[in-house]
Amino acid sequence: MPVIALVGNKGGAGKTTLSVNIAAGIARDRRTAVLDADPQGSSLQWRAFTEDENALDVYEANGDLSDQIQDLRQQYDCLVIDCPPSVHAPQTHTVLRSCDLALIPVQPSPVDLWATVHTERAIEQAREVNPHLRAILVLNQLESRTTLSRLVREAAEEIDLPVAKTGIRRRAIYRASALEGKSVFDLGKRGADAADELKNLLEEVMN
Amino acid sequence: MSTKDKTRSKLMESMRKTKASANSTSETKSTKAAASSKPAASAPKKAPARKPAPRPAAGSGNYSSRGMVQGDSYQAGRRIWPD
Repeated sequence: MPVIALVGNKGGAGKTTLSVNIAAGIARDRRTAVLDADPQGSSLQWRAFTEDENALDVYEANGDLSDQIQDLRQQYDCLVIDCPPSVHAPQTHTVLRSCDLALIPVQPSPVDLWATVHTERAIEQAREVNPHLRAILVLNQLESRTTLSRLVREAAEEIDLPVAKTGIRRRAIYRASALEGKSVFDLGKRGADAADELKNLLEEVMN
Repeated sequence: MSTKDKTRSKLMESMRKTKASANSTSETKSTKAAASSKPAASAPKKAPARKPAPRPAAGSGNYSSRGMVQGDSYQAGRRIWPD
């Protein structure tokens, strides 16, 4: 069953937001958990805010991360891992050697794009051990009116990794949902547009 | 040239430079790794004699070696040992 990692070499790209919301999207029809491998523990914090007893299971990374991934892989249909904001972190190193799919959020900013070049190198190295690792860039926090948002796809194509056709728009509902300890899938009409976007992304990357 | 064209040109140029820089860094690293993995031509070296572990100075209760073992590797790596 798939293990999906949200990976990147820069903080604030949307790894935690996408981890939680993607996991919630997958959890609609599969047993899914989140493993928080980022020492900042933002996914765990998000889970602590929820009052819903049936909310996603979020685990703290502890002990041997590789063993923990294997254990959770057996317990759930899908595991989503929130990685630290560095491809040089030992946690990211281990996760890339154990996961099936790495999603790399990229904001429409030159700094994010430059940082992603280093992520590409880390993926190449991980493939020496984990040759079936798939990696896809996800354009995140797109704003329709900015020049950089219009140019980010072309710039991202300079990196030798595929870019998901579905881009994720910058929406206030993501921040609001975190404050409520919920995903955009739990917010009904308020989260519908964001949820539709994520469904499209999942359909694209999971097949 | 419109503002968008200028931004596009700068962005694409910056991407090419970053890629070139990353490539040269990884090439340097792999060259160094290859050099270090070459077998030594001379006879196998004897392991250097281990230095005795530093003993805590008398009365330096706050900097005991025991404390250092208890700290995590990050802390231990960063600690400046008073000679």
